[in-house]
Amino acid sequence: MIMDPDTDTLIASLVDDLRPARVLRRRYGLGLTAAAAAATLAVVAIVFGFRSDISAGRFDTLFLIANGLFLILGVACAATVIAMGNPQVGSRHFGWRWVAAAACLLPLSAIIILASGTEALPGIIMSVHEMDCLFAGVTLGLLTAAVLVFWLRRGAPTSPERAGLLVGVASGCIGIFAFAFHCSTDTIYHVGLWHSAPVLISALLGRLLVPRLVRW
Amino acid sequence: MKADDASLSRLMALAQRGDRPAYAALLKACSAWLGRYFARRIAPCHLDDLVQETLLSLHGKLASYDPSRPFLPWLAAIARYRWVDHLRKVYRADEVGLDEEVSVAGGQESVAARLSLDGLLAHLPPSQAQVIELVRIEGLSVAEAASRSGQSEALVKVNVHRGLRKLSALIEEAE
Repeated sequence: MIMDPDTDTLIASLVDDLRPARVLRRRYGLGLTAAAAAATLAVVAIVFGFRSDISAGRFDTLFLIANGLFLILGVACAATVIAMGNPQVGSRHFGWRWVAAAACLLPLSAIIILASGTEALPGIIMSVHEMDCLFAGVTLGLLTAAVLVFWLRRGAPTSPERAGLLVGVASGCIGIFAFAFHCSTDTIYHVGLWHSAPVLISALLGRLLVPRLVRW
Repeated sequence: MKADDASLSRLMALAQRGDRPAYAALLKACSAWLGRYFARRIAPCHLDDLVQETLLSLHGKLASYDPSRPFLPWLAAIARYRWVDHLRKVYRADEVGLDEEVSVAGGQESVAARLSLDGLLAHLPPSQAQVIELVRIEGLSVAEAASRSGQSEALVKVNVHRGLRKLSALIEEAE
């Protein structure tokens, strides 16, 4: 194939502009995300303080199950975002969906129990504490979101919309995971609804805002 | 230079370390590969522009290639992204006449087939793929595409919009 003279010129200028590139290694991205999550947890410990039972080394069952789900979903989404930085035809980014389906059991359980009237209606009406969890979950996820957006801007995500959604889910999960170490309400209503809400809101914000930051 | 994956991958690894002769060889090989890759899936008058845009993207995203993985699937992902982006831009190419003579170089047919743009289009419902080809690749007007495809003009617009959205979500998944 005969090359367009303009293409020759372009190639010459690109070669002239070449600088060594630091390759985006996935383990480096995962390490950065883990550091962001650890820093978020440290902020909760310093600013809000851990709940008394955890400080005493005792763990509630619902706390472990719910927070485990949020953590695994956060890690799955963050790992997918990291992988999206290195595009490749043939890559599939579906694994996080199964974890998301599992995590949906929390709000679903809360809704089913409420709808069936199995137990008396608890105080789920929006209160200051509920708003604390909602606001803190979204805000505490910002550091994780910043790390993931930084990664995507260096990488080459071919689906900015999906990448944005996953950044939102990952950051919301890490945010509420960290804040749960402070929140002492262990009811399925509170955890299922008010700890899931920050993930949903972060996902919407990520889907709306992140694509314009990472499009190339 | 023949664009086989192993040699391109080696050149890219050298380029990432700042080796300019290797980078020049890589870009020339990629330019030729991209020219074949986009042929028949873009109006000839836009081919050079698209190849150059893709080379610019390759240059800007050098760090996103992991040398431990195959090179051509990475290049194809970059190329597909630029191609879908190009299709999104509204244009009409009056002088369109696709070059039926251009073909993929021998020896790389299986790789090219796996990574091809046809493979990407094949994941769309036929009604969407057809109108994307007519309007965004062949450059027909919506009215002409409606007449050719038997779809209403409104449906042509809807199918182009939905098809492009689906294509952008399938860039890496579809083989």
